Amino acid sequence: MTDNVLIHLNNVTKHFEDDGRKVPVLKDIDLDVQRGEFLMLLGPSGSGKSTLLRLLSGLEKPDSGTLHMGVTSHSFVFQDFALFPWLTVAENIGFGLKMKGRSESEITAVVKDLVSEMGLDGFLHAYPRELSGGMKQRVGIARALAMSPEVMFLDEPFSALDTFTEVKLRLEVLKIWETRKITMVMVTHSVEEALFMADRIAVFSERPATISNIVKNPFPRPRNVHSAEFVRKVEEISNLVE
Amino acid sequence: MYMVKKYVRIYKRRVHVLWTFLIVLLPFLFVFFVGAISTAQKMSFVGDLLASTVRLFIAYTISLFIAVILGITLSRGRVGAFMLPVFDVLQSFPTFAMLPLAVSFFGPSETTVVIFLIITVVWPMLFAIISSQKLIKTAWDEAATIYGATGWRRIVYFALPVAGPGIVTGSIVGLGEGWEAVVGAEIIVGIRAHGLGGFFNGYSQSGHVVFYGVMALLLFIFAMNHLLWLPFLERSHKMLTE
Repeated sequence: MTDNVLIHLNNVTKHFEDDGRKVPVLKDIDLDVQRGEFLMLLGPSGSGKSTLLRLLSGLEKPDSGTLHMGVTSHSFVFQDFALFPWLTVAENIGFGLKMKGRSESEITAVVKDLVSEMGLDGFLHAYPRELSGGMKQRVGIARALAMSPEVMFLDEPFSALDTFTEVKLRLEVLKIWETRKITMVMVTHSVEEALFMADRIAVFSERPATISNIVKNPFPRPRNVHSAEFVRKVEEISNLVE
Repeated sequence: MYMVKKYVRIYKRRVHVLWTFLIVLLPFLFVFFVGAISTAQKMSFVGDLLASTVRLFIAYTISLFIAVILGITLSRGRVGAFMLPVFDVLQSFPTFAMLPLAVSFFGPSETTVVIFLIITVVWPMLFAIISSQKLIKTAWDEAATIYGATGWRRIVYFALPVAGPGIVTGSIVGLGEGWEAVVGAEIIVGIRAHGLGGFFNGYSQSGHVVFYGVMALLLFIFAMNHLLWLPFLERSHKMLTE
């Protein structure tokens, strides 16, 4: 594993148990996650992208193969936010630091900065049930950033949002990636989103999933989604997914 | 700034508190009224009711402690999977059958009654808490794991808030069974101190006194539920609303 490779997967396989039956989900996955890159896992629904993300984040263990993590800290942004409803916005953001036993003053300082950065001013003591979907995901992202992660895993973070909020948050996540130099690994089923955000796109086949292609994004940033080349590339990758 | 002081706001307005206290006063007014028109000594009933309430309260507090610790620690893992069927068998055991054995060990004392009450109250509480832990949303569980919630911090900041509705529901059912058990246990054990068992046993030949006593007890239980448990139940469910 070279210095530039943060996570290395070799021949990774994963099954799930269903009524005593072994259902293969991932098969022979080989993948490197490079330091500082924006890697997208793209595939049809149920192809095992989220399972791979859970393997990478340590929530699941592979059945066979090797997974090397050269990462000291990582965090996760969930599709359905996964905020703790009994905690306020501030307490949700500071949850990870609290679990690490950090002092109240340190947590307060980190939370204050993130609340301002994520546009959550005025909602510090609000509960998740009082927030819109977009606001909830901002809290989810702020909670992830509070850990100062080397790698951030994002599991379809915009799929529960309306189109307007989705477009806005995409840009904000890209800004965070550019300014904080965090390695990001994100799951999506939208080819357009993958091509707009990622440096590399790992295309999944149907179950049991293998990585059928790894596409290097040819477009410089910022990307124009309306350009003819972009639209052609979207079509080309869509054919790979199907 | 990070943490705000939290109070359990279970009453909507001051008028709500006043009405609830009035309802609690009702059984006592009822007892004085009954005392005035019957041969029962009114102060005797109040003393008996208070003595039984104290025994039940002590048993409830110990049961709560046992149920929370066991419910949270044994709701998952191999030990939990092994213990759950064992608990299921134990809770089905007719507790009154144990009473003569308990009397031979501890004598006809208040300790015997309290131990018997613990055995009665603890099961519904334990199973309600185990159920609340098993129904934890996967995403919350994963978020707690990703953000480093382990050991006592996981119990205090994650498992306990999630157990809230289970604790309240278990308390309502457990205390309901406890009221029934306290009267029976006091009669069978035959303790000489004050208690509802002694009251009902003593007036067993005066049907109307027993009837008034039962009515007063029902009013008292209804008042406690209205004052404490129903607002807590509402509050605990609201805490988990996303």
